[in-house]
This record gives sequence, structure tokens and C-alpha cells, in this order.
Amino acid sequence: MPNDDRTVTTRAWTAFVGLTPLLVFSNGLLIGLVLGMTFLVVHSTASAVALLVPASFGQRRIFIFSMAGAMIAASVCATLIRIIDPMLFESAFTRIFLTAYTVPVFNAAVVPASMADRERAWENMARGLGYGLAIVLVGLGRELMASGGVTMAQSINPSVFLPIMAQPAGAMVLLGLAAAGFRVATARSINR
Amino acid sequence: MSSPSFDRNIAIGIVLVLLCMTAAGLGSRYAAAQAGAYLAQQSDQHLAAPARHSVWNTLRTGQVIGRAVSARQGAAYLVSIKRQGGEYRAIARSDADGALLSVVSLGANAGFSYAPRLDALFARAAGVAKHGDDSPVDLALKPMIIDALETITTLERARTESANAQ
Repeated sequence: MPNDDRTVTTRAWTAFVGLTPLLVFSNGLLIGLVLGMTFLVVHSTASAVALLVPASFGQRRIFIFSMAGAMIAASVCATLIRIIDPMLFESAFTRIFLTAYTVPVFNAAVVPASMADRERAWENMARGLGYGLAIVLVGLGRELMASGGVTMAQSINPSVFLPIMAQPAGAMVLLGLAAAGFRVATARSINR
Repeated sequence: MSSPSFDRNIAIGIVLVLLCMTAAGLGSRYAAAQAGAYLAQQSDQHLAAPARHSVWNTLRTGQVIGRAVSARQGAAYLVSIKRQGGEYRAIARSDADGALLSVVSLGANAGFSYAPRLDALFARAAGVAKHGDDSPVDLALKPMIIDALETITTLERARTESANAQ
């Protein structure tokens, strides 16, 4: 079923394009962990509220309630980060609130159309986990390439290896490489 | 599909959302107080003056995150200079007129290539580093240092004036 495969691939890449702002901001392991975990909490809250609110509310109101839940979840995550590490909060708080305004969270906040979709809601949660993991991995990969190592501490003379990878262009380079790798892997599996 | 009418369940939902928002707001307020105490303590520690017992004010003006004010030893400003690819942080102590007295570097994140030059420029502004240590990158970084120092001067003068007026 090549057409179905293509649809699934297109949907996955659309979701990753929607995540691009977070992937651009995730330029280190620490910030990647913050954004990835916040995204997971926000995405799960949005999809859980969309499932739990009675269908009698109507699609629009359920979406509004889900988004309100997602924003409150983002605020709670920001509060926790501020308590744990105030310095980290000061550098990341503008990015934390961006997690609620990404395409995958908007998709998760939409009420499932049918009973079959409702029963497959756990897939939405698994998708959120995958996206969160992707944000963390991008942060890890970019820090590794930018500095030649991974550290959570700040230093007066930080190590520098490939500084462009810590810049927004680095996220685009990594996304391009991932897309190319995915395409090669897909072409090989179709040829077999 | 017609829009459902406003019923009791929706009112309960709205009340729940408002309660959650209030709880989140109170939590945020608590976190701000805790963070303020932590940042004041960190500033005192880095300035090697535990006897300062500073009080923290979050400002978020330009590149200044906030200041730790000590009744006897003046104010120290936490500066964060962000550029693509990283962030450099320093604590700058100023006199009552807003002039820079000393700078303590807190460092930058890994892979941030501008950190050593920002460190050198801040040290030079505080009169610690020797002149002649120049780099072509300084041309792009100097405006950020000047902006941070001007913000500190403006904020410190405003604080001193309001303290004198009281």
C-alpha cells in the first residue's frame, strides 16, 4: 500500500515541520530536556482534555477547553522549572510557552471524530512521547556537534567544535539530514 | 452540526478552568519568590560577600534580568547577553551613580563561541583586562556590552533617585 505509506509519511513530516520552532530553540541537552518534557506534558494534557470533556460541549468548545488546559500545563511546567533552576527559567521561559502553540498540540486538542478514533487515543499520547523525545535528541545532537561534548554546566571558556550547530541554522541542517536519511531508508524498503 | 446551547456543564467547565488558572498563578507567585531568594543568594556568593544579605528584584529590562540590592554595599545586576547559539551571563556591581565597579562572569553554555570575547569586553569595561587584547568579533559584540552598561546605569540611577526621594 504505497499510497497509505505516503500519507503516513506526509503526516509525520507535517508534524515535524510544526515542531520546527521547538527544534530551532533546542540547541543543547538541558534546554532540549526542558522543552521536550514541557511539550510532552502540554501535548498529553491537550489530548486528555479533548477526550475527557463531554462531546455535548461541541467541537469548538472542546478545542478551547483543551487549549486552555495546555496553556495551564505549560504554566505549571514553567513554575516547576523556576523552582528547580531559576537561572534556567530566565533563559527558557519565553520558549516554554511556545510549546502550547505548535501544530501537534493543536492536532491533539481536536476532539476525536469517531468512536474508533477515540479508542485509538493512546496513539496520540505515544506520538507526543515521540515528538518530545525528538526535541531532546535534537538538543543532544546539536550540543554534541557544537561543542564536541555534552555538559549541563555553564563555563567561562566553553568548548567549541562546530558553532553553527548551536545556531538556528544547525536545526535546519539536522532536519535536512534527517529528511534525506529517512528518504533513503524509505526508498530502500520499497525496493526490497 | 448546530452549536450546543450554554448549559450547566459548560459553566462548571469554565469555573474549573478559572480555578486551575488561579492555582497556576499562585504557584507561579510562589516560584517567583523562591527564585528571587535563590538569585539574591547566588549573587552574594559570586561577589564573595555573604554578608550582603541582598534583596532580589526581577527587572527583565534589555539584557538585565534583575538586581540584588544590599542596604550597605549597593546593587549588583545579573546580565544575560543572548546571541544566536547561546547565552553569556555575568554579575555586574555598580556604584550609586550606575558606574561599573566590578564584573563576575558566570559563564556561557557549551558551544557558544562568543563567550571568551564577551568575557574580555566586560572585564575591560570594569577596568580589569589590559587594552590591546582585540578581536575582529569585538566590533559586533561591543554594542551589546554598551547597551547592557547603559541599561545598568539607567536602572541604578532610577533606583537611587527613588531611594533618596523616600
